[in-house]
Amino acid sequence: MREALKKASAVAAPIAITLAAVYVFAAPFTGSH
Amino acid sequence: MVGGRQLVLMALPAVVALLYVMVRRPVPRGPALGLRGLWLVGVALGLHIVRFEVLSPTVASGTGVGRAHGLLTLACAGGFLALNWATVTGGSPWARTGLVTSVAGVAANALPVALVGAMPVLRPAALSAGFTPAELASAPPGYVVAADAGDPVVWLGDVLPVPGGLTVLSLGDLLLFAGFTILIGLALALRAGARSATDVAPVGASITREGEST
Repeated sequence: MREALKKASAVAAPIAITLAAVYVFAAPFTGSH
Repeated sequence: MVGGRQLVLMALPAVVALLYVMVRRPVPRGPALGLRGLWLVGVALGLHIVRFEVLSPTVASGTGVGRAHGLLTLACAGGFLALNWATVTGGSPWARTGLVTSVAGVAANALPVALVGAMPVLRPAALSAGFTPAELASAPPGYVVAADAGDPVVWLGDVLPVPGGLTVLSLGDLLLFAGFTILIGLALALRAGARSATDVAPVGASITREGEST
């Protein structure tokens, strides 16, 4: 169980960081903020 | 709040990278990316949330607030690059490319904000993307509509329309999408490749430190 969680977090962490980074740093104009 | 089109754009690098890792066989092997200073992303996230979710739209649209936000974002990008200088000078080609491209994209987006206090949106580009003149009459907080590209700072603004997609991208957006895709793809691929206990890191692949990971 702990191993499965560790593997899942190993994949989820970089994805979460990337989502946050795009949200913060990308500046596309979509008509709203 | 995050809109639907923004969500799609946010997920784009991760989706492309995941597809790459799923399709690519064999997955590359090597040490973890070992990026340092990821807390700076958290700092930038905090700044972003304070400006656009906490402050009132009037205050968030202020030139002074915008310039300060742009400068602090540039500082975060510079700090991140400095903390990862070892990867820039001695990392694997892909790690170096991903890192430099990502930071260049962040800087390209933050520079016009630091200079004029908001992200310029080229009016003809926005019209090509499907926005109406009425919608462009009042730009949302953080953006300013530029009538033409006469001022060089507009070139770093949102000038690349997605025809009919109600989205206008900047050069910085393209750079950071590419850079983030490389970095996340590398991080996921290296994790997948490192599942084998017999992994041997390629010579000069990357600089990593014990206990660090992406």
